[in-house]
Amino acid sequence: MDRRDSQRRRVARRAAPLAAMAIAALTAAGCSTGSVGAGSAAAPASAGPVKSATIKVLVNVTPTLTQSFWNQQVHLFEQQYPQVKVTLENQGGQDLNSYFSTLMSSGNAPDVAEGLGGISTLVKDGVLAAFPKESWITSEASWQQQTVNGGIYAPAAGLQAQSLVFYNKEDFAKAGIAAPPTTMAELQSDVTKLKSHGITPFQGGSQFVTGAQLSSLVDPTLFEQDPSWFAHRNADKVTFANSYWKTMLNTYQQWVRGQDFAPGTTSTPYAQSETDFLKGNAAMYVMGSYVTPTIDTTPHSFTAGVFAVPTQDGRPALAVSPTLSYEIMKNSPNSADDVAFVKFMETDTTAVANFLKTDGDYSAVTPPVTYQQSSLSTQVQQIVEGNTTLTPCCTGSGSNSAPQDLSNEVTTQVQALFTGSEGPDQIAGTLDSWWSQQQGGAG
Amino acid sequence: MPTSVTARSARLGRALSGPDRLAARTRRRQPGGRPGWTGRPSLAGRRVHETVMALPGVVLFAGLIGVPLVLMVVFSFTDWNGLSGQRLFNGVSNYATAFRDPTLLHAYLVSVIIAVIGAVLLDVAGLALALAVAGASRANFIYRTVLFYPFILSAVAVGFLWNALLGYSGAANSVLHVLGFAPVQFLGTPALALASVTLVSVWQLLGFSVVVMVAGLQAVPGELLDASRVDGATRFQTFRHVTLPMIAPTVTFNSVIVLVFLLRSYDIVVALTGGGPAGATETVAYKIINDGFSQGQLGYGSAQSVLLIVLTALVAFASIGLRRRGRHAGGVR
Repeated sequence: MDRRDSQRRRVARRAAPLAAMAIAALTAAGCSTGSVGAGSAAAPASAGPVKSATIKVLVNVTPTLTQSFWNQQVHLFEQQYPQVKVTLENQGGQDLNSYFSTLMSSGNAPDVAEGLGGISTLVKDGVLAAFPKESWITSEASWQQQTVNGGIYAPAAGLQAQSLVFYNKEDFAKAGIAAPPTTMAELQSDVTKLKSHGITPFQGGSQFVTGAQLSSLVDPTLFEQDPSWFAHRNADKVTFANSYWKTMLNTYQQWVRGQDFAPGTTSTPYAQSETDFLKGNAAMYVMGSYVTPTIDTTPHSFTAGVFAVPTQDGRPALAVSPTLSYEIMKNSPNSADDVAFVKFMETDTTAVANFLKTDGDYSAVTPPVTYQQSSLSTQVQQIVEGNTTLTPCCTGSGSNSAPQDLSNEVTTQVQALFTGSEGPDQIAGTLDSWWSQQQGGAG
Repeated sequence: MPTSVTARSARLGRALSGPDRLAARTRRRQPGGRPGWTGRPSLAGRRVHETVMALPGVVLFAGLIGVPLVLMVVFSFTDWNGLSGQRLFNGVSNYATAFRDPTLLHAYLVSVIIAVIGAVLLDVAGLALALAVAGASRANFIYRTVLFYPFILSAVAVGFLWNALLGYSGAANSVLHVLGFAPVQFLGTPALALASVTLVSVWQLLGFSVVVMVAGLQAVPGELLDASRVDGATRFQTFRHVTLPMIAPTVTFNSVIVLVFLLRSYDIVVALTGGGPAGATETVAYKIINDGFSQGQLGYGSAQSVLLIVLTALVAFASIGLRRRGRHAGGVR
């Protein structure tokens, strides 16, 4: 199993209502960010002088953000702050949030964590400390959307595009597809054209990929139509069964039955699904921008392009999530050092550029941190900048949040679609039942 | 005046055996010995000595096993999510939820299938291989070492390894392709994924079973085997009527241990299938971790853990009980 699976989704789960995430933050133009207002923020972590200490940092190790990468990042910090020693800890073979819960329940909490999901829950449980409202945070495009009860708990200096379709330009040309689709109807038409030319339309994948791909296809339309869909689902005003989820599940079943996915979807782990796409197994690969570095560095025999997941009616929308974010624990004894560490990681141009480039992300600060981008990475940035509607993704944030484990549940249910054990009606019903159970669930 | 060893032993209500008596005499005659010291501590002294010697083990057991067990039982009656400091007592609510949870029932079914089929395979394959490598030659030593090697590997590493082999684009399907066969979704269909998890678990535990069985075989008295041959028994008859009854306790031990191992399958599932496809390989242990930590229901996860421990204990005691009944019925010692 590839460990990038759920960790990636965990990164993605730090979702915010990103409609307000200024596109200008991705460009040099920038925009001014307002003040937090008269919120009743929790007492912020101390931003006092750094003292000699050792801080324990939990990081999210992935196939690209390797332990070696994190060691280099820490080395940069320790060069500047030689009196602070950083001990890195990673999630091993586990899901990041699960591992974090293990550490917390056993009394071994880290001082700082990178990329946790479920921030509002962690705040509610009194786990996280608020950051001081300093200019380096207020220069981040999404800081206001990231606040919980007026406090800043997960400042994010980067942005990750989630609802993208990477495609094989030669396959599209061979099938007579002149331009990428902008509506679901056009996408369906392109699927038919590709199949008629003997080309498999989609590269799927097992584990988190199965659910992530469906979510990526759903999110832009779902949130473009109803930016507060999760909040409305929490209030029982909407359901999976009567929403775009059901529409997309029907479409998905049609694709599964039509063998529009490369064979072996439910037994092809994430890394292998990347490899298979790059081998030319299928024409399209629904995935987040984090796949860009792999495509750039892995030899392949076709020209890769990228387009945003089409929406139902063609209105442009892109599901994005904040990234390059850290959280500080309330019980950490070295809060000044913790803040210094996070500030360094989110402001030092070398450290930030390293992260963004390695992870396939984009700067979300004003002025932006730039790095040498590939052609594909530039295309993704153009998609982000060209979209007037940036929607939340994955599990949302704040009051517009899904239960923390939604991504895994969606994956399980969509796999049932692939194995044929359940149909769209059952799956939508199961997801609704699961949601209700989570709201009033077992202790 | 020191009492004699015999008199003191009599007071203790038992006689010392020959070696004990010799040791006592030796200690008494050692130069520089304490006057009046007979070399044998009192019963109370021995009890203190034994208690002191056992104390580190007891403390370790209490700290590493007892305390977590007690905490788990306590948490199982709360709504703790593992993060907050707040743990509200909610009675038997978690247990009631567990008995109504269809996914937990499915997880039990998966665990039992893996455990029962796996244990049978491990008994049969372990004994067969043990018979082949039980000899004292250097080659057999090497074979046993090689067979044992997977057991000391991390289960996560084993899972990843077999994922690479059994994945759709993995080595197994490459071989099938070369041989002209269609690829197989070893991990992509519910039945095959469950079979894969079971067989990979068996592969990892096989070395353990072989070592246990070899120990059992080597403990069979040679005189019995010789007598059997002298009486004209064939090799199969010797195995059936002499060896097998003699190693029956070993087989029982192996069955119980591997059953317990397999009932708590987690690491291999995570690394091999992630519980998929569509939850088809979610075991009880996987669900406990998932509910407890991923879904923030540590209280509910603890309740499931208590139920799993009870089930495991029942299986272990039942196996041992059945073995004892069989032994008494069959007259096997």
